[in-house]
Amino acid sequence: MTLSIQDLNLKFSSKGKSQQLFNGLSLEINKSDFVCILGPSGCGKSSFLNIIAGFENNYEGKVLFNGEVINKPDISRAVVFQDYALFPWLNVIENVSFGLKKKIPNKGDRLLHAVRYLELVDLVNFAKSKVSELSGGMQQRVAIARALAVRPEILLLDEPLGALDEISRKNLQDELIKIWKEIRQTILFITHSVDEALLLANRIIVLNSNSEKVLDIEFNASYPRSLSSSECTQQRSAIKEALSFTQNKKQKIETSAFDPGI
Amino acid sequence: MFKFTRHSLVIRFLFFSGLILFWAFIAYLKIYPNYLLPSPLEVLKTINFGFFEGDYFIALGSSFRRVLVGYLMAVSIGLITGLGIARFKYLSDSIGACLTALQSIPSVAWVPLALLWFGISEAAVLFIVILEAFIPSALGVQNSINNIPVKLIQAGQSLGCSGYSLYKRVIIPAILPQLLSSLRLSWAFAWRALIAGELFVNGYGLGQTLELGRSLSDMSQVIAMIVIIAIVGYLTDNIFFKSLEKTLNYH
Repeated sequence: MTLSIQDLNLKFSSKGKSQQLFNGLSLEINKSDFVCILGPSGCGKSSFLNIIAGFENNYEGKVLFNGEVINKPDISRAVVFQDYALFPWLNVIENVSFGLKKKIPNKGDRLLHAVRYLELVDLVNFAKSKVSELSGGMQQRVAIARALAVRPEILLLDEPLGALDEISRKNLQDELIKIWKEIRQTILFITHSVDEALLLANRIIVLNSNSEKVLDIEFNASYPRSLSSSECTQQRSAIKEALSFTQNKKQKIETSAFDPGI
Repeated sequence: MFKFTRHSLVIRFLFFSGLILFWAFIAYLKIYPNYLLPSPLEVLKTINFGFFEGDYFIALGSSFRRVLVGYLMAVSIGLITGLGIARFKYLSDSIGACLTALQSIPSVAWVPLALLWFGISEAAVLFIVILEAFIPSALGVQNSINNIPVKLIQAGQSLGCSGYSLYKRVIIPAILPQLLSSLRLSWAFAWRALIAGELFVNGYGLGQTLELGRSLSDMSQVIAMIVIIAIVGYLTDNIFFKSLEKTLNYH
């Protein structure tokens, strides 16, 4: 798997004003990376994910996935949304096996395959449950299993833990680390929480409120990580500095809604 | 969701029996002449006679057949129109806007036009039923498709659905609960349009029998028909569609 982004620009108009995102952003994402894209609200992180997912095609520049231009959604780039986006007319296991229809035509085999991914997120006992009967955290685990079950080359997560309570969030973070270690899934994770990025990623890309890349670091501390460890505090201040530097440069014209979460 | 509790059933029963008793009382006082206000018992006798000696069964049957045919055609046309106006902007700008205007015309207003075009015939009634009943279906399909959360469509797409399979596996199941409400609305409209149309044409039917009651000044037949129309409408709507809605409720 290779994902290569070159000279990315995204123009759009909001409230009659034309705006531009990414200012010629370029970066590469490698196989088996756990990448966090970190940035304040409104910096275009979600648009970035939409471009890679293939939902947003009106960009300028080159976005190449395995050497091919991304211009539509594909099963090789599975997405996990903040609000789960599960199909309410299907039960848990039917949701998980949804994307397998073409790959595994036989329904029995398909469900067997899905069960393995329910095991991965510890939800086998809820296979036949209605989606609406599950808590938010459990629904998001179903969504993760659904995305993983199609064996995507890259898993795209758009602030997946944003709508969850503290405890579910912690559990899911551990779960994601476990999954990443187990199957070495390439992951692109969008977040606005510095701590979340520090806990999860082995590479952190920081965008400022102007959607410019201000930092791109490898972070190879061992798991499980502690936020109070010296490695984490060091990286945290590096990230804060990178963000505040660009803010000073703009002479604080815009006040950012960014909460570094410390 | 509304639930049938024993309590609400009791209240319903008491209310309706009270209403009928009040009616019987007024009729008993003979304030109004009998040909204007027959007693409940007389109406009951008329209904009984109509069903077992008269042609009420035939009337009911042919009305039901008529409304079913019209309804099925209306729904088919409505679904196709709805899918079209939801999918193509230029169709929603043209046909869609037109439907919203058409919706505000009561079915009776089409009767003269239908009679002139199709004559005093079955076809005229069908025309009115279809014209009335397809609009809620069409607008309902359009609305419910527009209301599908974008993320649900995107989830389907990123899990390998596109074109026809996206419709079959995501869009159609996503709109089903809302679609059912539109189908129910279409049914109510069809039922109303049917009676309006039947008042003016010949043959057997509830509307015709109602109109016959008027021309014979047979008030108990008029009331009997109104009661039957109400009961049939209520049963189809509340029993058939409500139970369907229950099975389709995802939550």
